Amino acid sequence: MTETRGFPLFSLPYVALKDVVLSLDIFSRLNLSSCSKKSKSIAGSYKMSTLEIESINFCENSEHIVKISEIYSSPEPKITHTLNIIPSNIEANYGKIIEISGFEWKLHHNSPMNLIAKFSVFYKVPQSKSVGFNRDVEKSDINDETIVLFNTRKLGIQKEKLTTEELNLIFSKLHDIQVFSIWSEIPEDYDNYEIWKAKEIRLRDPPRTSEDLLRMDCEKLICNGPKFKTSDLNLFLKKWMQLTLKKEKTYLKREIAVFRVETDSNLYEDLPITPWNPNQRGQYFQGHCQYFHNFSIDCSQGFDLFRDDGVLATVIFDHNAFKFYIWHERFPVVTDTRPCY
Amino acid sequence: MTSPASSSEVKYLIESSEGNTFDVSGAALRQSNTFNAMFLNIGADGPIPFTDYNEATLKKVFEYCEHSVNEENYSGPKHQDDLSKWDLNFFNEMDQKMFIDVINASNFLDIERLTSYCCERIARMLRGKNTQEMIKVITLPTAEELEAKQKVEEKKAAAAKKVAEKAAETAEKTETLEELPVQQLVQTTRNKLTRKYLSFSNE
Repeated sequence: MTETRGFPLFSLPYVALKDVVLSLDIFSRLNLSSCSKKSKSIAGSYKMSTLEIESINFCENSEHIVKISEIYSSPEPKITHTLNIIPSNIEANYGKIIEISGFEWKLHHNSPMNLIAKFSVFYKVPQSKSVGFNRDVEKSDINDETIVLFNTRKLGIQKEKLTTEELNLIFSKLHDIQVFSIWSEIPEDYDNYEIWKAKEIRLRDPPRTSEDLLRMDCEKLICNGPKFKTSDLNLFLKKWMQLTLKKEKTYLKREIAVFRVETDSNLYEDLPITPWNPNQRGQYFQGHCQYFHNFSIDCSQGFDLFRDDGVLATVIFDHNAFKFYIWHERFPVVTDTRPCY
Repeated sequence: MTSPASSSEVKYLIESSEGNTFDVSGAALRQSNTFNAMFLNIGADGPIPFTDYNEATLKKVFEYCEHSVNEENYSGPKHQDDLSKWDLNFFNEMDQKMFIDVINASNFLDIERLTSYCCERIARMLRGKNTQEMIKVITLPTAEELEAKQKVEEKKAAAAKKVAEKAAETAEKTETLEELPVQQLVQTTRNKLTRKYLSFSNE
């Protein structure tokens, strides 16, 4: 059977038509659904794979790399397809799929975000769990149509340098990011941290000053790169002691972790620290992590600081890692005691 | 011979839509779940009538069954790249009409392996194609064609409406014209009578 023109697909018997649809890969099935009303209803009426859009990466050359997982109960729990959407101005090429290997695909399209939205609607999957930029963030990337895609999810940036304009664009438009992760250099003179708002912020390069750690509106802040010394963090703790709970903030600050801290003085100098008192708080701090399950941290070896407004925090400094936990619940329910970072 | 004996040597007579009969081995026939359900246990007196399908199609289907008699039990669809040279030749030498007939017959006879390979082959034909290409392959009208068709239909409807309106108008006019002679007749008669009466009264 070599002819491919004029094949009466919809005249096939029910079982055969079902077999054909089920034999199609996820992208061809999406294309079939766009042919007509009838094809849409047929392509969508048989069992569909359970899919998840894992990530969308905005890459150089305006390409988008989308990772889509097919979830199975057994024997293989998950298969991940990598779809490279290449922008094309040739209409005849839109939607053309090229299978590079079993799970790697290339697809030409004029509007990658529309295609992803269409995919999401057809397979009834939520928008991507994470969005990443490996290229410059442009105004056109964050508009009314795409804002839903970025908000409430993980946003990561992995390019060499970020500009002040890019950071201002991101934080002035997006107010509901769950995890914001920057693996890029932040401009040395950047100081607009007040507009930063995300449930969890992960930074490769720490901010300019230790005070900036308090200016970001987040629940959890992690700084991985070297910058701060113990004297800087001593100043940070003193500043924190002078603060009071602010109602206008969206997030209640709970955890701050700074790694690779240089020891140049006594971290606790002139601070009213006290060892753990089991009557004041529990032994384990209930941590929240977007990447893993919730976990609990043993704070029995940490030192406590009491603020005038009644807020209690614990400082743990170990192996050049500074960890600061704020107890909004003094005796939380303990779940998992595995470490997380 | 048409016997329920289940030896692979047993031959069954099959009757096609043309009324022709030909032999098929029991082993080949047993790949058909329809045959198993209908004839395997009770046997058949005389030829088994599969008269919805022509001889060429049935021969092609049972050619496949005869070939795959010794293959291990069917365990789900095979990737096209894993098909043997014989399988590929089998599919390649069919034209589209024959291919569709074979799917229909295989579907009726419920020969899982053949139906599944045929379907996988159609899926392969569609794979990688964009919407426009698929529309061409599965003979669906494109959006433009649908729009053009709709426009033509709208034009036709508008023209039909005009014709209907014109007809209604004409009918109305005709009705008036038909009424006129009667009135005229009445009037003429009335005038004549009046004139007669007047002349009579003058006399």
